[in-house]
Amino acid sequence: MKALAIARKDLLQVMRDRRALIFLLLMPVAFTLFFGLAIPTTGAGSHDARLQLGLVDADGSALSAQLRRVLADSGGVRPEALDAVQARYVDDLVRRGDEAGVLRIPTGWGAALAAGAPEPVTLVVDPSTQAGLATAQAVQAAVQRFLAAQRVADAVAATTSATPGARGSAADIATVLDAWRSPPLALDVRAAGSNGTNEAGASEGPYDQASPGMIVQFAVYGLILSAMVLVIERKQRALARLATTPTPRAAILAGHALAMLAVVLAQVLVLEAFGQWVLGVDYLASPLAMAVLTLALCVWASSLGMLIGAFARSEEQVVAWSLVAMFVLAGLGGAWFPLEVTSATFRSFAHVMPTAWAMDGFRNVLLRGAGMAQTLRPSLILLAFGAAFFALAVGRLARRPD
Amino acid sequence: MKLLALAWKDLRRQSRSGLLLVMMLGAPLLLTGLIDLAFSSPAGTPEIATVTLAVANLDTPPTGAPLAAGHTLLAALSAPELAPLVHVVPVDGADAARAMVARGDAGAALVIPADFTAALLGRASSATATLTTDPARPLGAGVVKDVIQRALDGLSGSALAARLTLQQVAGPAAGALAMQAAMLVATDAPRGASAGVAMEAPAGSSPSFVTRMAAQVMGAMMIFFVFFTGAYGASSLLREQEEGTLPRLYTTPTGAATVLGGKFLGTAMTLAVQIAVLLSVSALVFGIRWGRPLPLVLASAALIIAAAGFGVLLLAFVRTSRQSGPMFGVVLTVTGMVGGLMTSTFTNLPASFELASRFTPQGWAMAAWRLCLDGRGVGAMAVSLVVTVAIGLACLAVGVPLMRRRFTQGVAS
Repeated sequence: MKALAIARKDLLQVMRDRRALIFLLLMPVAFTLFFGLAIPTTGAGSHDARLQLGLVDADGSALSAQLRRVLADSGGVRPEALDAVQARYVDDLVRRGDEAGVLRIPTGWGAALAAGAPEPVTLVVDPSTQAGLATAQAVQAAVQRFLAAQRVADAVAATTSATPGARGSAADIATVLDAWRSPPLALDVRAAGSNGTNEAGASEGPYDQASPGMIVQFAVYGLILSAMVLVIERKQRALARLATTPTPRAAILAGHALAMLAVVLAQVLVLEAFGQWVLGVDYLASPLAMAVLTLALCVWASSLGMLIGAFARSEEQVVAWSLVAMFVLAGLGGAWFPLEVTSATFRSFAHVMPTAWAMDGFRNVLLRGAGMAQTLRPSLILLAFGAAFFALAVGRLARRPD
Repeated sequence: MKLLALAWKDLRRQSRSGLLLVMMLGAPLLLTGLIDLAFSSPAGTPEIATVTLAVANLDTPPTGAPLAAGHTLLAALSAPELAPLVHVVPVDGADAARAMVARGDAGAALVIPADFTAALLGRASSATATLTTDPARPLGAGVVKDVIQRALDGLSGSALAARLTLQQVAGPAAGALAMQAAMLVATDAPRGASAGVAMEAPAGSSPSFVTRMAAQVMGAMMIFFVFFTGAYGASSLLREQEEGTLPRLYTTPTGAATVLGGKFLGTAMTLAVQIAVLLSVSALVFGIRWGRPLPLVLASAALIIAAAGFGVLLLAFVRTSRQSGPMFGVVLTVTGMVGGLMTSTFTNLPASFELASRFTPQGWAMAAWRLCLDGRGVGAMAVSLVVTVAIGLACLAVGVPLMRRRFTQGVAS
């Protein structure tokens, strides 16, 4: 009962602070919405997410028209012809980011290709930018498709024509490209999920990374308030005075820990509800698994709050340590970007962080449609981290309550 | 002299604050370090982990078929040059392959259908292979999809050549000619796209993707935390007033203008130190080339004026130092976010994001720093610099009279 009374007191103290609403809810909601909106989607109603490719067709031949057609069909780039003035400032356009890349088709390119002595097209692209790398990949794929069509057209012409060494014309290439729209061998890509019938990528919405990522990040950030309560008690010697009463030390610590758990749990549940009903993130795909994972995350986060509260000597230190913990744990744990895109070194570090396990659990439920079996391990690891942090905090408070 | 003494005192006091040092220097360097560590690779480009591809080959070639297309595809995917991208694991049955993806043991599962060879030979209209991907690993899935699509295109090319030949030739020789066309495509060495596309980098671009990304993050985080320092510096007046040191200062023969000027100078000096340290450390640690000296100095000066001015303006809206933390935190986070500081490395952002960034001082400061990073001259940066400074001066024009009224009441200037 005394533990509950202490927890109630802590909760009242946190809730009386008007900053609570900002730190616990408004900021994570703002961050989630912002990052969700910033990630381009290709769904209906969204803007064209293809990268803008400037096109300078100095050749103007029937063959270059077919190459332009393949580029226009590309899912990665959106070709737009540049006028004569723009064509003089290609480097500037690319460096400023006005164009993700510029493709130059030189004069005589079509004639050289038809004569069997192909010349390359030139792609001006900044390889130090993400847009540049993606543009290069998309243009190379389109050119490869065009060259493959030309090979087929050449083979057909060589086989069917009476003229030795006959080559496929632009019209033949167009015929091949038309035929390629329904190829003999096709590939159907589907994302694995609970029903296994989603189209590729369709199950990952813009908020499937941002929402759980921000939940994990702000579960740490929100600790500033509850850890502050503990530090203030220590600074004012209230904790030491409380230790002189007949209240067992375990009850005092349990009370504080319970309050922190309640704060984090309330925050995470509200943010999950926001994700579920406002952002369309399916936290209820596997309710039991999500409940266990949520509880494990909150136990770990509150034990981290206890740890910060036990070691910090001032309110200033609580803020500094919480910020550092948030940056390191969220950044390294994959809360900002999927670990899949990171370097091998980074990935090997990541799973030393409890946050990486929390993100694994969230991704298992939200993206893979997994149940308890695949969230149990991340949950148990989070609980183990929580137990270790809590033991450290209790050890410190037992030795130096003030 | 008093002005300098006051500024020096503030600079020393702020350098003793652990929290301020974390916010000024630790956080931006830590964040940039994390990004650098996350994406650095020997090639200087992001690397994607090798994807395990479970393949169930159900292909049953028709009797007398000259090839087994399923095996051909499997062999193409297992080619040594694809080993860094895809690790092929043959399995028995479609369910076993998909189960590997569901368990997380494979990044994707490919099921080659029974009529695969038949479709290739024109004995079935078409065949569709199914690729089941792990939605939690979309990039790896994209790579695998590209690799398989390329291999399928090679096979489809042969089939298309045969079909188009059959459409053009009639008679008993048609079959043989179609086979000849298909073989021509199959044996013609594919012309790699690299042979068809010559790549050129624009003059002055960064040599490495990761260095560029680190530079963008560092620039954005520097601006974000410089604005924090500006606000924190301005709020030192509030703290001195609450601690009673400000009224005591006014009992000395020091004019109000000197006190306020000293405070402003102290903040500007702190910001200059912060920027200088961040630029130097990031250049040494992350290899960032910040651009030419004059544009760099001007971009730094504009940033200092904007951050200090915005801090003074924000101070007008807080009553106590306790209020200042959350108020500064929220306003600077929101304006920083809208100003594009959190999305500095994102590509192809909706146009509204770019437009919105121009309504914040951070957005204009970031525009100037981007140009500086690109090695542009003062002329190219002029608009961004002028607007950044103008916003800072406008904030000062509004904030200073309010500050004077509030912190110098009853004091002779």
